[in-house]
Amino acid sequence: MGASIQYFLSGLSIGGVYALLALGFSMMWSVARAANFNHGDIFMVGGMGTVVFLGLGLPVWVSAVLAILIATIAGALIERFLIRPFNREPNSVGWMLTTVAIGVMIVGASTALLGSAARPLPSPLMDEPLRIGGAGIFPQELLLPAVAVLTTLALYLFQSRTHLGRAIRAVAANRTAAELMGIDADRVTLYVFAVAGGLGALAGFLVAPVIQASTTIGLAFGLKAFMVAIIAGITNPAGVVIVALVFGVVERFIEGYFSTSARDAVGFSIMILVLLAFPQGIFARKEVAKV
Amino acid sequence: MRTGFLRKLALRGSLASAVLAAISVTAIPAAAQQAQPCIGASWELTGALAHLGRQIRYGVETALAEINGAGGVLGQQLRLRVYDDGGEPPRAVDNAMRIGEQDNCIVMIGGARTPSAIALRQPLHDMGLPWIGVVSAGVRVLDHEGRANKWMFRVGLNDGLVAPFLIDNALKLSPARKVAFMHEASAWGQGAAPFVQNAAKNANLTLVGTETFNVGDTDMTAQLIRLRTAGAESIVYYGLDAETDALLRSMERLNYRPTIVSALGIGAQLSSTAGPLANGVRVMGTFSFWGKLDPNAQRVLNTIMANNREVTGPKDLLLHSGTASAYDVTNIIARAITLAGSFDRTKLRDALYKVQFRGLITDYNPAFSPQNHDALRAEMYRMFVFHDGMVIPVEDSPYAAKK
Amino acid sequence: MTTSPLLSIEGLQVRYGAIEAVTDATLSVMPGEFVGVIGSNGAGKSSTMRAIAGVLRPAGGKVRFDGADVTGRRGHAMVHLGVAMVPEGRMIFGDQTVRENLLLGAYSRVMRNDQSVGQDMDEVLELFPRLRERIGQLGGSLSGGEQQMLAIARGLLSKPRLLIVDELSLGLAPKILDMLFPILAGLNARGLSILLVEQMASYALQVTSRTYVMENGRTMFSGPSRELAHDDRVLDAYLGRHRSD
Repeated sequence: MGASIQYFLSGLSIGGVYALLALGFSMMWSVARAANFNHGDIFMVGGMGTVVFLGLGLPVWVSAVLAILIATIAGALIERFLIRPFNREPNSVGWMLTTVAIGVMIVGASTALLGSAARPLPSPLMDEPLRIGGAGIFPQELLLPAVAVLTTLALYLFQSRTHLGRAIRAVAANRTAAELMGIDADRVTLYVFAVAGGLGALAGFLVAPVIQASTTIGLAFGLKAFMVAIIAGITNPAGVVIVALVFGVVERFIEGYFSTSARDAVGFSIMILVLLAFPQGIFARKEVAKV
Repeated sequence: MRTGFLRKLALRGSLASAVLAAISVTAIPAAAQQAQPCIGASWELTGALAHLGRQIRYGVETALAEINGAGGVLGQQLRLRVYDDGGEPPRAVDNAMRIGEQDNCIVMIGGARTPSAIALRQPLHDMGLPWIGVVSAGVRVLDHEGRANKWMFRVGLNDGLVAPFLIDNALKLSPARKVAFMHEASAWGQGAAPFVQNAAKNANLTLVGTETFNVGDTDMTAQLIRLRTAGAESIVYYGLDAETDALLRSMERLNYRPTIVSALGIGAQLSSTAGPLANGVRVMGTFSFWGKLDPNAQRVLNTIMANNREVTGPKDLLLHSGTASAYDVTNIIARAITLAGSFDRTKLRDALYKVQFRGLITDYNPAFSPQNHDALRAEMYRMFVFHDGMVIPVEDSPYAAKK
Repeated sequence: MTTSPLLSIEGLQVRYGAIEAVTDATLSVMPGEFVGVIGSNGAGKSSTMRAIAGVLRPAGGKVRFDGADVTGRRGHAMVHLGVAMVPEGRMIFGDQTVRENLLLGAYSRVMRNDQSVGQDMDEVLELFPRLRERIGQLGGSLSGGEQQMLAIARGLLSKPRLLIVDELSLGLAPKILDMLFPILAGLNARGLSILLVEQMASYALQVTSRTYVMENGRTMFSGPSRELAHDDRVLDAYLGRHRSD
């Protein structure tokens, strides 16, 4: 019983990280039919950036805001210079190459500059775990899924209640039609990539006290989050977050009841089977249209 | 000549480097060449273990500064040629070819990863280039399975000897003989597993559990729950800093605290990330800059700090044993070249069997023998313990009295 | 006729990769005029309209609006200039409500904080009472005719000086067309310049004052709609086809 609670709570925690990253992929994909494949490295910037600014003597909140701001600007720059020019035709794939390449460069440069050693990010929420029936979890870990769910709700409200939010949905649904409404689809796309970058960095900042910040952690998280987004149905944010949380929990149970070495093999196999059953993803939106 | 050239071609990963090699092969007569006064190195300067490359570099550069300051070797300054392999064996091979042929260095110093070292066995053999390892502890780095190892040496740990040492220490910490084994699912961890199992068998010990984890894992509660159920009191452990931090936090979550008895995978970085959670973790090694140092070691530490602004004390050196090995190896090389009397690779190799040097880790007297290319023997292995930000010998720590 | 045209295009070309959809389109719309473009399927009418509206980049030629060269301006910029397009196939945002679709139509004005949007919204809902009944429904749940009403209403809410309507009749029953065409005529009567592209030439010739005929990517000839309705070339090629539909 204690073990199951442990796997569930730990899974929710890591699932929260997948969720925040997958949400970014979902947002980017929806408006651009492309995504920043180095989103995992933007996530890394959130943790590493905070640690670096902290090391310069800035307060932790200022450090985090600066790191998230940098990631936000990076998200915008990547859209403008590495995705937009390489995504002009309907089936362009050039953006995959450019974003993967810049990811490798970001990791290489930051490792050369900062070293590959993991850096601590102290948090008062990591001092004492909450112990629940033989299981234990740090409050910081519970923050992750909570922030993921709250972010999704906030995003939903933003998209349904504000003009810019409706414009984002319009661009996602039909770029041409959005332009005909007077919406600058390119600018909206830029905003969305910027926000996705900021969210990725927020995840990196929040998880750093749990897993430590290092320059090379981005790849694995980015990859898993992207796969989660795909099997969930990448254009459905709520579905993406649900699948991310479930996937985190499933991973832990596989570890618990099979073995750690089976985790990725079994986890990825489940993903492939799900994708075979739901080629568009579990929560793929049905296109509601009549002609 | 022609077949030799073709074989060298076949070894290469890329056409570009083949072209480079073709140029270098034609430029330098292959037979009886005098090598250059340089030490080549293929280290992980980018990649997950880049910080370990830096720790090795501190030792080499400090030794070179002393050697060259005193006039160099055979009247020449000894230079260091470093290439980045990102921890990838194919790039390490490429770098070794460049060092051996283009730069024509007299010797190579190894890096952190065992797979990269194993990948060099053939090219080093083909080029007749001596190589001295400092961290990569795999048995197969020196044991070439049936073929004589003529060119590869090591001043560092040997996984074959590490395993019995760890089992022995883990048993001391668990009189009830509840010892478990936990390792990283990497070439290093998987490669060490048979030695640990064998060592356990020789100690008449049945391990209460064996667990693995993946590089980059951030949660180890599943493994720990199983080990707790099995009643493990001490854990023989092969992992690196980041995953060990995850392990300690998972132990804290579960309020379960078996003693970790670790191979040389974790360094001082762990105390900065895990803080007080690291207290009591045992890690084996060969040397420490903590505590009271003899004048020789103190001088080396002062030089490292003087030449590297980011190092303000022992806490900024992440792998003391590796830095010390690198310092000793560089000095052994310099003295062996002097002994050889010329920059000739074969003569240098033969001199390594005679060279003597009082180093940081031990008194090398001589460093190697034709039968044993491992300079450090099991009796030189020591157990250290993390305590309040330091990694100190167990016997000088508050943990000494504990059982 | 000393007034200058509101819209004029000269020698416009549109390419899709290697395929030339429009080789030479030349036409103009005077202020307050209701101009039609007829022609068979694939004649390049829609491509011409999309190039004017800025959702396609012309490969050659000039687009002038209100005297200024606006060739190659993007769609949203054209909306800001006062050109709205009711696109072929309606392009209703199916996952947004009727009200949200209408607000998107007024997007550029809303972002400018234009206070009269609410009043204009009431006006278009009076023009299309069916939309008022469906105001909270998702755009995707409307019938084809209702979607076309929404598309026109949405276009009007940007307060355009020129309304381009691309294939109004597509997929709609005659009963609905009998209602929609008079509405366009009424809008024109109130001063709105309209450029209507229509495959069903008979409808277009009834409501427009002047008509261009496009064939194989070119504007072939033009004339007053009333005259063209009796022109042999038009009767044979377009109206004949329509009768046999």
